[in-house]
Amino acid sequence: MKLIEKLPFRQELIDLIGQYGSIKTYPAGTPLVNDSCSEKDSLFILEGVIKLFIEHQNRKILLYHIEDNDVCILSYMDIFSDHPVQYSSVAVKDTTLLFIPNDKLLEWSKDYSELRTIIVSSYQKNYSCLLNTIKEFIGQSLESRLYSYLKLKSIHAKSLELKIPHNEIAMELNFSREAITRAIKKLEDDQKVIRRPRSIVLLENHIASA
Amino acid sequence: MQFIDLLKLDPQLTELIKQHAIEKKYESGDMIISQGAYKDQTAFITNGLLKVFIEQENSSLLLYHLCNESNCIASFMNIFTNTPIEVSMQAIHDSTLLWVSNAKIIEWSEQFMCLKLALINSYQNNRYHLRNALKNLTINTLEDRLYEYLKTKSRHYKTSDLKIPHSEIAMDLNFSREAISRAVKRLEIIKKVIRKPRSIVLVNV
Repeated sequence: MKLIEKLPFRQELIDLIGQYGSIKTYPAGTPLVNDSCSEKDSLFILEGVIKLFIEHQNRKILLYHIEDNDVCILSYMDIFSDHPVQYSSVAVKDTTLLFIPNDKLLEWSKDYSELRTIIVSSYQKNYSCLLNTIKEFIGQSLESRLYSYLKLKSIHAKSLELKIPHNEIAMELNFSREAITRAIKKLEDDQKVIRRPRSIVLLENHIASA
Repeated sequence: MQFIDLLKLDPQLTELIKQHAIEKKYESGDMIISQGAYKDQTAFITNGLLKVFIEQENSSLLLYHLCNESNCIASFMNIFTNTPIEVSMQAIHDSTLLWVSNAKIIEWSEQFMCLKLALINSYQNNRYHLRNALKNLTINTLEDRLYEYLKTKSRHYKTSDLKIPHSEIAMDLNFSREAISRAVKRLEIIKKVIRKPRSIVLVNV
């Protein structure tokens, strides 16, 4: 209940959310769909980080991450049409989610302007994140995309040393493992990373403070 | 106006839009907004067909279309924050838009549920199209992407005989013109299109 109090809503709405919402915690690495919670729920991230991706024939293409300090609603169904949104998600760190039934969200959005604002802002953020991912695909070299990816992972892990297998990076960035290995070597030649047997170490200090 | 019926707008709201909106007409090819500009407005498309795309240094990519018959709200996804617009928009056909300030849109969407629903449906459509654009970009071959592109254009232009220059297709799909010409030839070999001197004809569509 304490985590819900952090949401930027008036107390009356927080009380309603406490009554009708449900909270679940997911260890790092757990997929978030195929859960007992209904796909007709929307969710807030109270604590942790999740990543969204598209799955297609054994490939997983990273879309973007959502963190607990992005006050953002995520839905697996379009709120008004019940059409599935068709992406997958997984907890990057131990994550606590708040689930709210979509029909309650709609009902409360009529009376609480701050909730309406968050719903619209969430769509806008979602749009912006997807656009950025598209821009990265068409505009950036593999090395640039890889470096941006490693910096983001470093912020989430709060560490300059990243123990991520090359094949996992390859899946997320939609490149072959060999291409990722070559790109890491190029980043090392440019003195942006150091390659170690089981990890990659970033050479710039860019971790966000806790 | 078709968009009023399509969006099921309240008559009182319709009157407000007519009072406060500024009508602008665009000819085919006119840029409506360029990426990076500021526009604290939302538009209702009363007539025409637009394309939404992104531009980078040496590349561009078509994202989706907007028209008066379906996805008829042109929103820049910045209704609460007047931030630079992240996409460009261009008229494909002669088009007419009704521009309304975002301040009015916010005010009216608090009063009229129909507008709130229409906006959110529009955002959901945009998100759906972006997700598809990304999926196409990352998963499909050039021939598949080209074929899907031609089918989309055929739906919007209401013809299977598409007079679109290969250079324009190249810009829209972020490939070289030569790659597009080769892909069109390959689609012809597998009998999905017929190449004519100034057009591409979709077969069985």
